[in-house]
Amino acid sequence: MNNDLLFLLCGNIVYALLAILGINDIRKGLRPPSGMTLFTTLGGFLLQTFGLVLRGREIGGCPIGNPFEIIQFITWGLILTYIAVGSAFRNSLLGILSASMVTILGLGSFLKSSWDYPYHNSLFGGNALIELHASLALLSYAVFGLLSLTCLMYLIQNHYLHKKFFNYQSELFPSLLELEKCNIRILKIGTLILVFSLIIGTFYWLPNPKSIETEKLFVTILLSVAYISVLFLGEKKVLYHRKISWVCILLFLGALTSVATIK
Amino acid sequence: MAINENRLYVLGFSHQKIPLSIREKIILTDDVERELRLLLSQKAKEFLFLETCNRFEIYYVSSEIKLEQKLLGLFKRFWSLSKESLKTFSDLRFQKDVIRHSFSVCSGLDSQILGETEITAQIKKALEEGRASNSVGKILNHLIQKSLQTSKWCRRETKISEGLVSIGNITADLANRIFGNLNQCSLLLLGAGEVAESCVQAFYRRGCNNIIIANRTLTKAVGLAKSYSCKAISLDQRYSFLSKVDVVIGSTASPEPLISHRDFSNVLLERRQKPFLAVDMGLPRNFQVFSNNLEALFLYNLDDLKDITSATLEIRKKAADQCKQYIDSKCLSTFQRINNYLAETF
Repeated sequence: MNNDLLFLLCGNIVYALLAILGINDIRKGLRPPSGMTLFTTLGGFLLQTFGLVLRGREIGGCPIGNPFEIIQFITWGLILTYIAVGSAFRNSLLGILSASMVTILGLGSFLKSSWDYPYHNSLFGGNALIELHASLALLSYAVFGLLSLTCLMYLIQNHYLHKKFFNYQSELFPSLLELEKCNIRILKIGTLILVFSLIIGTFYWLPNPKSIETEKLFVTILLSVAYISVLFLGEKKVLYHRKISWVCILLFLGALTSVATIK
Repeated sequence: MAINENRLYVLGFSHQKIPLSIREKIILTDDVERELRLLLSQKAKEFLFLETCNRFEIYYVSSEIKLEQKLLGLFKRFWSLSKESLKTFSDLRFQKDVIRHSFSVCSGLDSQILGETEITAQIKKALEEGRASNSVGKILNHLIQKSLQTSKWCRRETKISEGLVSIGNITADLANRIFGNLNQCSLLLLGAGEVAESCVQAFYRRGCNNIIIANRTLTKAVGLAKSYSCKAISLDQRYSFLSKVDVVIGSTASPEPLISHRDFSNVLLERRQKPFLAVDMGLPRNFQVFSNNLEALFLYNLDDLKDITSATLEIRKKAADQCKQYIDSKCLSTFQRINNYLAETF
């Protein structure tokens, strides 16, 4: 196994251990220690970063050339967003959920060995703009991944409060208002990165309109318009509570599916 | 002279037997109280009313046979309940059973929220009122004093009151789960009784500084407001403050709902669907909500609060066994003393 793969695998194993131990704590009625959660996440993140750096050096660019790399990049972005934004929450549950999602996606990508196919080094034709556009778009998907987790937490907490269901596990969730604020904050960050990526992409696409497939263009614009609309409607309180959370989760699933259209 | 007949009674209605919809009808209005006092002052040597949000009990000392039938007849006239229903829902105890019951009630063993502490203050208040109206003599005084002593032992020596299960703390905890830090949270309390005070205390301790107390008797609201540096208003002004607060707690004995379904809908619209917590601890219910289809409204009533405490209650249930053993050991000596008093009285 190459060094890059070894580091990526080690990073994913650290996340998996964190997820298993955290879920076990929650099952036993213990609160996972937030400091330990953050520390372990940082460990996994450093290993994964090193793996991606090695892979990037090898291909001479951002490692987002095949489905395996795309998934590793998105999970790396998700953890980066958790460390940058989510950890301010001081809630270990979000860390455990992030580690669980990353484990499912990351280790899943290792199991499907055919996804890590070789490709020629000049994937983006040496154009730094389009490489930046692609990596920023994937980073925005990672942010939306974390958003889908905080939305899921909102839905569960909202369900507990409406159904008057109270147990130890329900105490681990942040308050509804905190989750609402966090959701909007993450949605803004994700949308901003996506829009920025589109603007950069436009610089490449306008002089070369035939260089991009209509299908991909349509999906990208649709997704961007959808997230901008959700943000606008959320700010105007037209879309709120459960509805906005469900929409964000569905949009993330849509975003993940749309990755398949990228060539 | 040995006392063979029953002289010490308690006739009660409590959450143990009665659903919330029926408990709403059982209120000690001025009319009921007047009639009750009239009847009991004629037929009983001593009597004491204990009214809380979950129980209404009359402790009395009397040699009158079937006095409880007359009391039920009186309740039937006022509460629009059939005599059969009243018989089913009421609980009549006598002699030693009254002592055991009083000890259990005072220690919180019989409370809807096991081990809650508010009942002790409510019993103390009932005793003071009984003394003031001269309806309590040495028998009931001794019974209640012993009950208070037993309660003190149970709460000090066992875990019967451990954890967050006071109504005020549960409500503040609920607000925490919805709004997070209570520093930015505002509270409107309808009523200024003991339940309201417990809530003010709990919210105040958790950093909530914007508390408004609305009460029909403004002076009572002002009295409570002064202790916690909050605002007091009359109950009629409640609508102008409703949309400005995050939490509303109803703890009045108003026979009519104080906030209707439509009021809640309007408040949510004005608040632009920001979450709103409404806790109805009044009996009859203070809030009229037909079906909770209002997504931003989190509505809880007394029965819901009971469910929340189940985890803490596990610990308390174990402690309750210890308390029951202690109560059994103390019952006999108290009964002997009361028996002596009864012999002197009759």
